[in-house]
Parts: sequence; structure tokens; C-alpha cells
Amino acid sequence: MSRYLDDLRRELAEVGIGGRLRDRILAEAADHLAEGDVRSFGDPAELAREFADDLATVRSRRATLRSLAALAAAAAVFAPAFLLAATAGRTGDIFSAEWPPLGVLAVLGLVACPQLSFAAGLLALLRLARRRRERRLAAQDVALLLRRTRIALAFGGGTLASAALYALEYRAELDPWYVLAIPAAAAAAGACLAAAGIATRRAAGVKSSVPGEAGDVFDDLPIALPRRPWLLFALAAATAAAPALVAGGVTNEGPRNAAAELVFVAAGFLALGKRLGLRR
Amino acid sequence: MKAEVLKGHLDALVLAALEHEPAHGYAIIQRLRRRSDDIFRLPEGTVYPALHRLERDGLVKSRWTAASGRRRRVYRLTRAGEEALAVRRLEWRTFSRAVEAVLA
Repeated sequence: MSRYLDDLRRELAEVGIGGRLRDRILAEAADHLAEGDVRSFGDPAELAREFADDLATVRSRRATLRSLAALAAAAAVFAPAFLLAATAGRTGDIFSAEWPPLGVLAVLGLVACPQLSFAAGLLALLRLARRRRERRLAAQDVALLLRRTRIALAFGGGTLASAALYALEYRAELDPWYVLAIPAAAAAAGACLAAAGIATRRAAGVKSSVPGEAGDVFDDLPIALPRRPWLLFALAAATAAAPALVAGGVTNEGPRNAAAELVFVAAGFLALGKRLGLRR
Repeated sequence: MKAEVLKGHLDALVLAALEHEPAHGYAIIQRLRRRSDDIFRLPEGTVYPALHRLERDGLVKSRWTAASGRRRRVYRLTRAGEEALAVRRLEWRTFSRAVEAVLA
């Protein structure tokens, strides 16, 4: 019996099940085997896989939901940081930072990171919703869901760091409340993102063996679109560029801002398209 | 009976085994064997992933007890578990009647 329990312990560790759950499984197995027969208990590797297949689905769903909640907190910091900057005294000169390269970095981060975080978070949410009725997600599905979630969290963290950096770098022209409140709120929301990141990492540690293809974004959409990733890119680029054009004014900064959005979307699509499951 | 055939129905069978009385994993396996006239023979360990799954879904609850100096996890049906069992029983009856009608 002790040999079987050792094997089971090793197999559980192999599929990423540890801590209290592993102890509970082993205690239940030990109690069972004290009355039953080791031979009829089943293959330890198969049993460990059974646990892992369930757990990978449950943990990846929970981690994604937790991450989306943390990202909502990050958005609640980003929105006032972005919208209230002018009210708090910012003039708009990008080179008026304490150290201009850091100021430019903060501005670029405030433009790019939230968009990438939103896109990755939306894709994670779509996948979560699309697979909500499935008892067990395929291993590839779990991997894609968690990849999208991690990317959303990473850029969410980038957004908060940019917001804090922006407040600090342009502090000379910003109201004191902004300089104090935005970095503090960013730190609090950052803690939520870090906690969600830990949950996501923990979920990724459980190895599912459920077969199946993850597919791509076309499998997530509630409507059937032609499977042409570049068409999707064109739609996303237009969706991002149009508001930039209108907000900046067609005869003023609009065309420049829209062109910058197109470049951002193209860069994001090229750099992260495969990882986010936008193209295969 | 092949374990693969049973696996699709394992959750409902475990719920049914817990319907009248709480039990630990080994006792659940024994009940399934007894009530199926020893036809249901699946790897005994597979009942535990099912129990953990049912507990996560809120259909059973469990607690540690002591038995012969060992720790023992005893499971009992919750109200939601009773309702789920009733639904699955109804689904099974409908399904089995339909299969019977086709195969007979």
C-alpha cells in the first residue's frame, strides 16, 4: 500500500497537484486501501490525470474570472488618470516631464497598454463564455485561456505602472491630489493584479490531458465570420482608428492619432496574434 | 461492465449511492457493487475524482471523521444534490425508455 501511495503522490506532483489537495487525496486513498485491494484501486497515473483534468478546468476558469475582476479595478484607476489629467493641470506638452524619456514612455504606455490589455481580456472573456457549458476543457483550451489572461494582466500592470509614472513625471504641472492619488490607487489595483497573476500561474501548473483543438478567435465569436485573420485585423484597426480620428479632429491631430492607432494594432497583431489565438 | 461506459454515469450513480445515508469512498463503491449485483466494477479510485467534482459543484458535502485510527472523509448529499439526483433520474428514465423502445 505504501508503494502505491508513493506512486500516487509522485503522479499527482507530476500533473501539478500539491499542497492540501494532494494530502487529502492521499489520506482518502490510504483509508480506502486499508479496507480494499490495491489492484482494484486503479492506475495511479490515470487517477492523477482524472483529478488534474477536472482541476485544470476549474482553476483556469476561476483564475480568469479573478483576473477580469482585477482588470476592472485597474480600469477604474486608468479611466480617471486618463480623463482627469487635463483637469489636474496637464498642458499636453509630452516633453515637459521631469525626465522626458520616462515621460514619453509613460504616455506611450498609457496609450498602448490599456488597449492591449482590453483586447486580451475580451478574448479571454469570449473563450470563457464560449466554453462555459463544458465540464472539462481541452488542455489546449486551458492553455489559450490562461495565455490570454496572462497577457491581459501583464498589459494591465503596464497600464497601472504607466499611470503612476505619468503622475510622477509630470508632477510639476499636476495638482498634488492627482500626484498622490493616482500612484496610490495604481499600487492598490496592482496588488489585485498580482494576486490574480498568482492564481493564473497556479492554474497553469495543473496539467490537463483532455484532447481537443483550441481553435482561434473565430471559434469564440457568437457570429460566424469568414476565417480570415487579416480581415479581422482590418476590422480591429478600423475600430481603433475611427474614434482616434474623430476625437482628435479630422483637420487637427486626428489623422496622426489614427495612423498611430493603426501602427499599434498592426504591431499588436503581429507580435501577439498567435499567442492570443487571433491567427494560427 | 466496461469502466468507460460507466464513467459517463458515475456522478449520478455516486449521488444515488449517497441518497439514504452518508458514506466514505470505499462504502460508496461497495454500495454500487451490491445494488448492481456486482455488475458495476470500475477502478475504485475513480470514485474520488467524482466525489471531489460533486463537492465543488455543491452537490455533496464532506467532513473528516476518525475510523480505526485513520482519517476518513465522509460524504453526504446536499439539498442541491438531492435535486440534481431527481433530475438525472428522470433524464435516465426517459433515455432508457427510448433506448429500450429502439432496441426491443
